[in-house]
Amino acid sequence: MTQRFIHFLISRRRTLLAIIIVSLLASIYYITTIRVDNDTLKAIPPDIKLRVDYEKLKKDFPAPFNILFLADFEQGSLTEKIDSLRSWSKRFRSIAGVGNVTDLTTLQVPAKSGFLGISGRYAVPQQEGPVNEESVRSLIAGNREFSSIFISPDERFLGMIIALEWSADRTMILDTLLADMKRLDARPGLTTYLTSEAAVSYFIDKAMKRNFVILLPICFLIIFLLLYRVLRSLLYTCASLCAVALALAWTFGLFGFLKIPFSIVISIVPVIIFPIGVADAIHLLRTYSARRSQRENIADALTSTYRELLTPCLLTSLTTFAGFASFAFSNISWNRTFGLFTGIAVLLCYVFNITLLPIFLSFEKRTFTVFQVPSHEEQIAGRFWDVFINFTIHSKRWLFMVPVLAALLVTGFMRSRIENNFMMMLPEKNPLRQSDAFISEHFGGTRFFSVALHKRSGKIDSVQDWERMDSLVTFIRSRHGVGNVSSLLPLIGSVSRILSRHDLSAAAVAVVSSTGGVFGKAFGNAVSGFISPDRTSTRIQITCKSDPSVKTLDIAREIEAYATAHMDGYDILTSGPAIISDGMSAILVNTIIVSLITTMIPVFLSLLIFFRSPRIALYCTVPIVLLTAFVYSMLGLCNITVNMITAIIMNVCIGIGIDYAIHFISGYRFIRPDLPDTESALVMTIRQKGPPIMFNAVVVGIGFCVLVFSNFTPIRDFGLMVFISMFVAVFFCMFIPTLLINKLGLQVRTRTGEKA
Amino acid sequence: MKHVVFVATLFALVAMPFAQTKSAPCDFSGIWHTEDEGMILTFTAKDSLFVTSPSDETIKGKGTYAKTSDSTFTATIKNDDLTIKMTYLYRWKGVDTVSAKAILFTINDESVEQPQEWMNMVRSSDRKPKR
Repeated sequence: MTQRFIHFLISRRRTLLAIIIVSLLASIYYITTIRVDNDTLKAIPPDIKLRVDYEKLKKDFPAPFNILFLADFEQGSLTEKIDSLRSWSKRFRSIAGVGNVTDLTTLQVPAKSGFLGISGRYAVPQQEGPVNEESVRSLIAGNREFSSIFISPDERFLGMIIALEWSADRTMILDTLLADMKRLDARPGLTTYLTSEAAVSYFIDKAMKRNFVILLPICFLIIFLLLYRVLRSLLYTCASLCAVALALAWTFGLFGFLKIPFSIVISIVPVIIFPIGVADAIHLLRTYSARRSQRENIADALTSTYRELLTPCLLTSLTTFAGFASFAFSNISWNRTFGLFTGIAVLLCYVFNITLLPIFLSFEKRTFTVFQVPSHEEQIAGRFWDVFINFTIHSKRWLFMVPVLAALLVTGFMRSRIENNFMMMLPEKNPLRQSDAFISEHFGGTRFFSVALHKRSGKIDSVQDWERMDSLVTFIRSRHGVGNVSSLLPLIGSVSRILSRHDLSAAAVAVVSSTGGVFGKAFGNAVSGFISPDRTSTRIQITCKSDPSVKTLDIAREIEAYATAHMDGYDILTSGPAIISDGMSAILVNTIIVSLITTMIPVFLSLLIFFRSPRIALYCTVPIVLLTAFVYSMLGLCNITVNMITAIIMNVCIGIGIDYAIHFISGYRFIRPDLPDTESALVMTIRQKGPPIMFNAVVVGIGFCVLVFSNFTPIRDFGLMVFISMFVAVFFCMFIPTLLINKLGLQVRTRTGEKA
Repeated sequence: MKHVVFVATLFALVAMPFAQTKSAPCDFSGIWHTEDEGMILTFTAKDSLFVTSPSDETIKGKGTYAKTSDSTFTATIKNDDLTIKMTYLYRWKGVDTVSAKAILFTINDESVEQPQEWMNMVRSSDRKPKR
């Protein structure tokens, strides 16, 4: 069967190559149709309560994307600052897609004047030129509740809200704004800042493109050099890399064909697949070259290689697939897509490795030479394995490791934390991150969520309604971590004081909640963000401090409890980016647990079926369980937060690490019958299987290590952790089975069928 | 008696043009704009009033007005569930200019404070307020 398969591949190689090229071209076509979408909200399943609530909130209170622009003036008069605002406002309005720009110069405050008794008065005179600074200051100070976002009390910080149209090209607008900001920041004494919900996706896009343009070629080059170093043949190196490249092309072609959006998590798939995908090729080609060195011809060498390695390679590919595909049960779409497609890519790598390698190798010259002299690295590695054997088999020093390991695990677990605020995942020097810190310091925070109150019967148009609302706002303000609370109450209060010198009057409530357009656009805009068109729902916006200890979900629960007790007749809904971000933690923990369970079960079953021994399956699984715990605790010890990207580390380690355990125990089973006792068989297994396992870990580790050059912190953490984990995996997958076999034993049938 | 009739007729003839020039501006019918706000007030027919703004298309108010004396008029703007009743003291400041000052305001029948300053309304033929 194997022989016929090899013969078929070699004899039909030109036809097969033509088919492969056509399929490659089709894949490339579909790759060009891939759509990039890094909107973090879309990673959350549409049917879970968090997302449903947020969509409901957006439906009741629709708002376009806003950009908050801030300028820090170290010097200058108020007139000069207002002139700057006017000129920037004019410039920003001219950008295609910018709907409206609101700042101090467009701010209108309620005033007792006009034919209808109340009208909007501009805080700053509309005609250009010098302004009466004292008059402007007086008006601003008297209307702090409206002006605080636009100017700080010391007049140093001035703000601007840039509203984008729904159809706006946000990338182009942010590119333009950032270029303008760079130009403005060149002025002495002026620093500008920008923040927006839309900007997070923009910076993630940038980081992703950088990863693709820089990191992928570096990864490819490193893998190429490492492969060439170990295979010492350009043909072998190209053959194995072509198989991986083709698998990736098919995977991403499938992506385009199925119209699945491409996200930052998916961008790391090629960097993962290159080192993993070449692992099978390394095993196949090293065995093949060994056969060839024994003067076998190409077809015979390939046949004997495939007979020995096809099934173990399939098993390792299946277990790696199980490791990644377990994310198929995740609620987070990014992780789900990542897991499924990485798993598919792993299986495709296996398929292309076993089909392409014979085709490539059939072009090999008849004469064959191999280097039999061990390299310098191999000599050093040999000494390393001596130390390892001594530590594991011949001494009890490993006992000292147990309490240290236990302490590390406990400490790491206790220090681990979950973070889903993508803003915090950007580098500290990122303009958005700097703006976030700046705004948090001066404007009370950047974590927003809303409380929407829906009156079950009738409109919210009585003084009693708003008195209860006022009590709720007072309660919210008193919560720890709340930086700012915005609602319709300041406007009602201001109008009320104008009309009746009271803080809350029926007339003011009637004016503010009126649906007729008597008081104009500025008034209508101020109102529409806080009360629904049918006046049955109102929104209170809460800004929480950007402090990780502040749990917005806890604040939301407290608000809900208060509203349930004191706001009879109202339905309450709390939602917003901060709530979703915090709520994602629970989903992420669930994803990790489910994915670990759904990885371990198929891996254990695969091992059971393949080895037909529960003991072997257990010996392979125990190091992986320990590895998972170790990696998780390492995240805590290294102060790396668990997020959508770093959550993948555990599955990557299981998927790759299990291969080491499989190769080691398979090697032991193969070697044991030829040796008199367990100990010598273990020593021989370590010496024979240790170097290729370690080499595999080096290739994979260095391949992933490339990710430490990413400018997106989670990806950097991911690369670093997988790099470290690979070596820990080698240690656990060789140390623990050695220890278990040595202490508990493992029955292996000898060549004659007896149990040894 | 003849003299009396003659004097009365003569007085009436002399006074008639004055009386006509004085009563003509008392008619609010037409389009006016408020000088400070740039609002357009349209007084039509006998008692209809429309409030709009050329700079803000969202301002749309309609109601009624009535002159209660030679120096006061009332206006009522009703939009959905909001009713604003205003009583204005007014003075003619020329053929096409009226100065008005609110003396009573109610919102949904609740008496509220009103602006104290005098405001000018200028009759406009092209609907565009002079600012």
